[in-house]
Amino acid sequence: MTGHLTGLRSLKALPGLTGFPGLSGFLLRRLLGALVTLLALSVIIYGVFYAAPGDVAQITCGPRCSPAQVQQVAGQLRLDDPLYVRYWDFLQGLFVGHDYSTGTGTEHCAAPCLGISYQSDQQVTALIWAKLPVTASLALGAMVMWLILGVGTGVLSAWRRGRVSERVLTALTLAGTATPVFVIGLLLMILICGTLQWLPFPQYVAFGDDPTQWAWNLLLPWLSLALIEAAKYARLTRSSMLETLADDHVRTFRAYGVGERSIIGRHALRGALAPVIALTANDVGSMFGGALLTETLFGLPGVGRELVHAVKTVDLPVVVGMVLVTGFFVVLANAVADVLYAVADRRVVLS
Amino acid sequence: MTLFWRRLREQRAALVAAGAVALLVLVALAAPLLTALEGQDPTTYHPDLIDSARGGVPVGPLGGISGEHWLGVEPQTGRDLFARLVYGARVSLGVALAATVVQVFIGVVVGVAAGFGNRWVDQVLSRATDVIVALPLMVLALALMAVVPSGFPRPVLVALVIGLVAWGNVAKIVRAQTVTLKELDHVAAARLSGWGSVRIARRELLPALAAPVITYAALLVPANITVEAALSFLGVGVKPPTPSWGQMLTSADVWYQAAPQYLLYPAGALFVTVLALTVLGDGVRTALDPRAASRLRIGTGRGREAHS
Repeated sequence: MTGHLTGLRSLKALPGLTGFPGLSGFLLRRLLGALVTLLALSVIIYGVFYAAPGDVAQITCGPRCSPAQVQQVAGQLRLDDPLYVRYWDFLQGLFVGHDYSTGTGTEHCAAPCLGISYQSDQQVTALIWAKLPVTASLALGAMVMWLILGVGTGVLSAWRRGRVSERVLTALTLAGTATPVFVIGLLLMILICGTLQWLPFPQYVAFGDDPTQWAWNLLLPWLSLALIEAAKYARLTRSSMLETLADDHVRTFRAYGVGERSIIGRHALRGALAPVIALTANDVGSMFGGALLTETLFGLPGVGRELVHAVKTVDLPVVVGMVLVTGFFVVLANAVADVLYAVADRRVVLS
Repeated sequence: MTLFWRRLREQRAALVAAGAVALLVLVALAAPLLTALEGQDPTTYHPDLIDSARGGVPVGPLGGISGEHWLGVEPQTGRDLFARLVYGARVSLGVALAATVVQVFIGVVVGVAAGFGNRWVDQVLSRATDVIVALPLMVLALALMAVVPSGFPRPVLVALVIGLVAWGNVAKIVRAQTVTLKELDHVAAARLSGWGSVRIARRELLPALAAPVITYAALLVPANITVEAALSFLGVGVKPPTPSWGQMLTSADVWYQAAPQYLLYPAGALFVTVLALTVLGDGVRTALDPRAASRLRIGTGRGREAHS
């Protein structure tokens, strides 16, 4: 009996990374595709934002500026140059850096240069770089939580399928997907920080300064974000597990007398692995564009809150820079997701 | 079609959700009537109903609930909460529906063109679709808000922006479906008899695309409601004096101690609306594609429970 089983399992065992000739070609194609996508994205984003109607010079200068001042600002921002010239400069700045005139002199903006903020005269790259740790802390911590919560709930409801406890879990996850993060975050903040006073109102403390305070302050933002995301993961885990449970090979295992716990924990869970990994990579990638709502709600000084501020002040270089950086992370995450997916589920490479 | 209704009626949750949605639509449509009945409107300030000594907290119990103000008044301004809530329903549902129409329109046009066009058209459109699907919706929508002239009516603008950034999945579904349909005999026959692409698309493809598109669109509506609320919450969506649920939540965190109902009404309204629409959307999907539900029911049979 056990002999048969090990035989079955080794049949299913996956060949190593190098053992698959299709994989390196797949990787290369995927990488090239990602690069082309990013370039196309930069053209579109740049075009849309700088060609759009709206008097950038007037808005940047402020409502009380005289026409002469507006003219000067327009000259400084080089708004009179044709769009393709400005885009070419932008692209150059991105790859080799760029010198900007600041009115009093020139300033060098090193290689991945995304331009200079209209409002604060800071380099956009530096601005994003300074905010990234906050967003990364938020995204990665929340990811750990939502994976535990989501996959756990999914496994549980696949295991208890057809029973009352599954119904309850399904209803809970449905409610989770229907709640906007700023609603649940707001309610949790008021309940936990306000009424019960179990946690402080979140205030970002850098990990390097005090790791305990860092975690303590981020606990609530993590939880809010994780609760919403976990619902999505629970649904995905449950449905992929149920699909695997209906597969022929699982029936074969059952016929051999493999216990339900082993079938759920080992075989059905493996079916959910690939989609969960792919979704995680995507979600984390897009979260680097800033968990806009969570950061704004809890007042965390991350990339997302900066983007909201930039939009409100029509600080176009910052907006364009952030959208591009978001795009970069998303494309990167998608490529990583595809590769992980291919490693976890070899059928992808073959098709 | 009758089969669709029968299958939808069989699902109790979907029926309840449909009832809730119908009620919401009714409230939104009858907003002027309801507020007239109450004798209030959503924009008039009532400085006499708030206690300026305490920072603008409504006078009276439960946020100033009275015969004149059914749900009390807003802190600081004294605007009638019931009126703002029902007019907010108008904004929420209106913006979400309009955005869905835009999304479906762009998605179908792009999807059919990609699926039916030559290789080059397909490549370009599919790449564009991939990009728009990949980018986080909130980031794009928020960013677009920066470049639009401020004179534009906000609800229309929000609907357009949501529509313009979130059509990718519709296009993907439509393209995949079109590629399959293209091979079918009746489409091939239409092509051979010399019909133009537009005519084929309209007469032979669109009817077959209806079911998958409706299924997806039904789930787009609650998503759009959330996005509108989120944008308004961030302060770049629908702006005062036009009421919106998301916008009401912006300042609610300041008032939660003194006037908690000010937070709970819009939060509850959002939750119920999105939940009802999601459940209804799920029901529509099950009714249009019964296989989806039975696929997930596999393995839940009773026989196996015995030894587990």
